[in-house]
Amino acid sequence: MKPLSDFKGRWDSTTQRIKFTWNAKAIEKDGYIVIVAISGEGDSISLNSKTYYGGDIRCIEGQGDSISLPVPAGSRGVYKAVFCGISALNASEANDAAVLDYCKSNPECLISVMMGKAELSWTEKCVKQDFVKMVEIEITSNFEIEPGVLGYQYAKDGVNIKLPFPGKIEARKRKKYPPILIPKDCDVAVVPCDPQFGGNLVIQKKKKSIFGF
Amino acid sequence: MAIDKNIVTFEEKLIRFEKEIEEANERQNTTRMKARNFMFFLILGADEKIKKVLERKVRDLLCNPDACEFWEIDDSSDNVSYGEQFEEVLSAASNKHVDVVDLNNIFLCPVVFVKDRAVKNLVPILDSIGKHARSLGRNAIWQPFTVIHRSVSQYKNIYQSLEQMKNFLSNKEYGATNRCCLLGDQDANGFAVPLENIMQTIAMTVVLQNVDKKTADADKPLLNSASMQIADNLFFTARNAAVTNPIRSLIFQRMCSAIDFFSGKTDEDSRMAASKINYSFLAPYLSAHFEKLPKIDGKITFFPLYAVMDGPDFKKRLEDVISQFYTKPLTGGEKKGELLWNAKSGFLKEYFKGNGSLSYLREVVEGKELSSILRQRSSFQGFEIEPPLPKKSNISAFTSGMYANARRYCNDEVEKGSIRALDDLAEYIASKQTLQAIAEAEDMLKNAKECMQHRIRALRDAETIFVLDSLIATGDTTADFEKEQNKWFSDKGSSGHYGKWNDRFDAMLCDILLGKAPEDRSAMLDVCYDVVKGDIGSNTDYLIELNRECNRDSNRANEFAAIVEKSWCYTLRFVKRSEGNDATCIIGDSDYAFCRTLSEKFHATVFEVPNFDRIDVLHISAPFSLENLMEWEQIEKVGGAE
Repeated sequence: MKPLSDFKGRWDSTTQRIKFTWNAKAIEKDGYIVIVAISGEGDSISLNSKTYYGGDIRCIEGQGDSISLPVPAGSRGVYKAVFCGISALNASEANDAAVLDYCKSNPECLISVMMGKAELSWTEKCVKQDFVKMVEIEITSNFEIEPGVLGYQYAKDGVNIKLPFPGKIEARKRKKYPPILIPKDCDVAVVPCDPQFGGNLVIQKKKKSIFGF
Repeated sequence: MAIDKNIVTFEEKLIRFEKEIEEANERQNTTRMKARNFMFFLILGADEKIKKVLERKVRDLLCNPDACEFWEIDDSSDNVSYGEQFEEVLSAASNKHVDVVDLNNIFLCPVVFVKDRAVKNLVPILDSIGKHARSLGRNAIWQPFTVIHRSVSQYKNIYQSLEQMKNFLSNKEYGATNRCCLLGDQDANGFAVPLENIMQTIAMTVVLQNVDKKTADADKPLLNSASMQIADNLFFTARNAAVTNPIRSLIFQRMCSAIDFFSGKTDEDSRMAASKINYSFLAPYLSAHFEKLPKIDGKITFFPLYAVMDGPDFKKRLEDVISQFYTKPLTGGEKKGELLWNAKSGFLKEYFKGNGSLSYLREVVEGKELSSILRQRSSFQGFEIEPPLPKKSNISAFTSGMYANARRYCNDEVEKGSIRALDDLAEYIASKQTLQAIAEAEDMLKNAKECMQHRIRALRDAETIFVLDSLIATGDTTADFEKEQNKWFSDKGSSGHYGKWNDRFDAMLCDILLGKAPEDRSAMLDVCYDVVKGDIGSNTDYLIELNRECNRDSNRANEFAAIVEKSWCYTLRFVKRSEGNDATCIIGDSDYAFCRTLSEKFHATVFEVPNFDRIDVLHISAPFSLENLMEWEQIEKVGGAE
């Protein structure tokens, strides 16, 4: 067994499917591939048979380098799901116990796919003082968003600050965050921490009257 | 092992230089002599290298260099018939119309080397050639040579080889057979004799018997010792000396001076080098150190700290930002090694530019003062920190507590950053690796000089060294040759004459200290050679100067003659020896006073060569029997016991 090379997955909110891709040439003599969802963390991981593909590489259409599997996001909001992608000589080599052992000792065969979609809006309150500006951000989201997914940023003179919001974003709760200080002439934006999460987040800034100088 | 390798490459490089020097100073065709008869050199017990040296020495004396042939004879083979080959060579010489009087009279010169083994089949080999010569109606004049390796381990081989030679000499069937010239590879004082000196002696011994004398005593036999008259005394010995500009010695000595000069040893100001350094190389080092810090409007900013929201894990998130924006960039991050290396390179370049020496560099490095020197000499600030936050109540949360602590910490880190960067640099420069590299470089230079000094000592036998520059400068023959050349070199060097070579040398030294020099360190010798090779005067200038000195003071001429006499010290030791029957031959131009001085003092036969730019001397012993050799009793005891 070996990890699928260049293994990636992208979730589509419309079809509720993940399109997995990999480098078919790197599979070499292996004739069988397994893609399976993983639950848990570290040594406590297990295979989640709800999302499982195991089959002969020759049965995969096209170039043999992609497959689309139905994976509903459910109601968890925006979160990361973990998948394993490996190739093996045949089905008997890739039995469940062997795959699980392989995943535990070869984390390079695991990838994260951002699941779910959330629409959120945010507002800011700014106070300018000499050369600084104090900014307070308030966020409302229709679904929960895992920590580390949503962040805020500003940039000036090559200084590019992008930091995640502390904790998770809770669903349907207006959350007011502690203030930050930025240079007076800068503006803050709420953004996905990683550009690849862009498709999972619809971010809208709402205007609010600016108070205080 | 690396040092041994260096020595080998140095020696190889010096051999190449010597060859170049010799080729550039070959005798001019007009000052060579014409061989009357064709000469065969039959070389036994030696390799191709030895054959080539002899060939070069013989041809260099002749204006008709094709009047000779050199054979390397395999004496281990049972096939001892060389008659047909002999005839082929004669036939080729005939077809080429080699420029000799005739091809009826031929010199046949067996040259037997006794080292590690005795010569085999000597008599049958020479017999086959001699008989063939006689069959062809040629008149052979035999002039044999034996060169022995003076070692107890060789006594048996020497005995067996000389017994064969005696058998050959005793046989009268081969035509005119001269005595055998016996030579050793150590002189009478026990010092090794250079191969080229032995070869020059062999070349002159044969060639001087085969050229016309242009002197009044032209009828006098040239080499009384060689021609056979007394049956018992079958051997003689000889030694040559040369009065010529000692170009190779001079070049090598000046190369030693160049190494001292370029490595800063002769500069008294060397100790000032560290304080004379232009420390501008620190600016890019320090500015690179601060380059990655966040800056707004050119000032180092702490705004990233204030962008961390209070809340869960606040301290950890703040520490992450401090690490990402301040700690890692200040330590140079992944590029730290490269920054330090570049700064060290800058320091070393500037140090050597200030003519700093390797030995003082060690002091600087070991003295633990480098850090304070760097701090004193660094005027670089390189950064400006943004002003503190305004003291307003609505932002007071950012001017106290963890934000304030973080700002203070980062502010201190930035302010200490340059000092720490300089201390890091001092530590990096003064590392064990640097000390080791200095020691290696010193060893390398020492080895290079020792190789050259070894060659200079060896060349004293090949080049009679008159220190021309000391003659001009002080008129003092006792002046130290080495000191004179050092002075000559540093006088020229102090006027900036050697700038570009000094830079090349410094760059190589820096590369060694920085660990990026190629394995072949002999390139440093190329620099030293290039810098001195063009400044050596001609042989003619040398003789003119010598002539002037001899004319000015006859005592000086006698002093110089004594040096020549000393340098023809024979390569054998005798039980008893009378110098009265020794003979001296001189090739030179009698217009030079020193040529006349030598001729008169040693009653020499002069081979007059007008405008000859050197004086070659061959000193020949009276004939002797082997029993008169100091070691013969032991040689006979070992060899005769078999």
